[in-house]
Amino acid sequence: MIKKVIFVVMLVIAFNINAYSEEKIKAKKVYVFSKNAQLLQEQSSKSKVLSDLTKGQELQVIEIKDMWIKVSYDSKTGWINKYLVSESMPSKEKADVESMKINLKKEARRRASAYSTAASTRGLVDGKSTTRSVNADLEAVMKMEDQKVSPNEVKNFIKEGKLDKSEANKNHHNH
Amino acid sequence: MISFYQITNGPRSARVLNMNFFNLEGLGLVFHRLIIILSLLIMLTIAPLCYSDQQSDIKDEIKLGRSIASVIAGTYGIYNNEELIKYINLVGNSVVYFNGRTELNYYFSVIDTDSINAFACPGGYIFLTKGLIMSLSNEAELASILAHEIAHVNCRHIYNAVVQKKSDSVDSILAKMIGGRNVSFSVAFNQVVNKGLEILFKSGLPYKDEYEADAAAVFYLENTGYSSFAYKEVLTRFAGIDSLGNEKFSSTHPPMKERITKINDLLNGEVENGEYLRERFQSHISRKI
Repeated sequence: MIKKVIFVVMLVIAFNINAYSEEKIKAKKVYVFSKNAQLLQEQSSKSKVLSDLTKGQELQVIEIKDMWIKVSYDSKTGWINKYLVSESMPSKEKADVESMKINLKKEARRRASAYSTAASTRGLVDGKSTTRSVNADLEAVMKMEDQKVSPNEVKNFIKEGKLDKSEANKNHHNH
Repeated sequence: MISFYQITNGPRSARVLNMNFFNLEGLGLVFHRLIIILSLLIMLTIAPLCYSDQQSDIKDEIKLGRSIASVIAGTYGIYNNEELIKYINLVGNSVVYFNGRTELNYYFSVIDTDSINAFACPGGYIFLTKGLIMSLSNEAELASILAHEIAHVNCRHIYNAVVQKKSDSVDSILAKMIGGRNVSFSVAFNQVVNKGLEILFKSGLPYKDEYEADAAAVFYLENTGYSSFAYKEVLTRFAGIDSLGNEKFSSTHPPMKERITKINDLLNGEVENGEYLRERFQSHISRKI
């Protein structure tokens, strides 16, 4: 009986872990992670747009050719640039950086020399050796995080620079 | 001590003892229930670990990036010009808006050195040198450099190079189950940080990763609305600086000539229709450096 119990338990563990491993294997599905992605008729960004794709859209991979992936979804088949998709579903939420700041403060007390071995062998300018010591400045990184710009500021900046060509491109491709 | 096997399969006296002790018709029912409960417990324990592994992986990536970024900031110092840093963040996040990973924030900063270089740390921490910014002539060129670094973050080039895939295995899940984040984890983490620094400062990434970041940058620029030709122009200028021997910034990268050839191949047949935004760049940079 004990053997049966062990067998069943192992089976359950194997089932769970196997299901997890399957996820890691090169997927036959990809997900759109860009805000500006289209399904194109051919392997060119100048090609006719078959459909606009939304962020998180799941696509079935048919073929991969250089920078381009032939995909199908919703009974349509076309091409998408590989830099607009990822193998895992894009997370809807950003990683909670705030909760990690406490750990960062703890780390600031650590001896910076723990990280210095590689950095002290070379300076930023490649090829020039330097013997100067290296200090980790975690406060500077926290300040860097505080200097982030808001999504609205970014949208206005894009608008001011007339950068968003997606509408214009769509019109161009459709003509 | 009487084993379970002896109780259920042992001599008759033991079986009687067993029956009386549990006061049940048989052990079958108990163990069927036990199996079901055990299975449920295991599924409930492992499933969330698998589900949350992606989030945990991203947090590890950010933590690693922060540590590497702290060394870069500590070694060279941040060029403390908030207006300039805001402008760099606006340009960088415009590229990210169309081409970034949604689960990350991207942070851009300037390090106080006249040498020409840029660094992407895992998790979205990107640095440009003051010297690099001063060598640019328009916003599209600035976006080009940022796009290349963003591509390294998006493709997780450094993270994948330093974090062994083995750590994503069953061992890692079990380690998490038993609370395996102990002292040896922190030692291992420091080794990983050092490995990342080694790549950034000394050995560089494999050439294929650099070519991939170049190709992605060309596409990101086009997708954002900047001229993708600006990337070729800025690398051509840097190649000139290299050949003059004034600055050598590419020993961790493939030869500039090869990079430009590959970018030319990508741009072949493309029509130049993106923005350069020279005036906006000049108005920000001349006032801020």
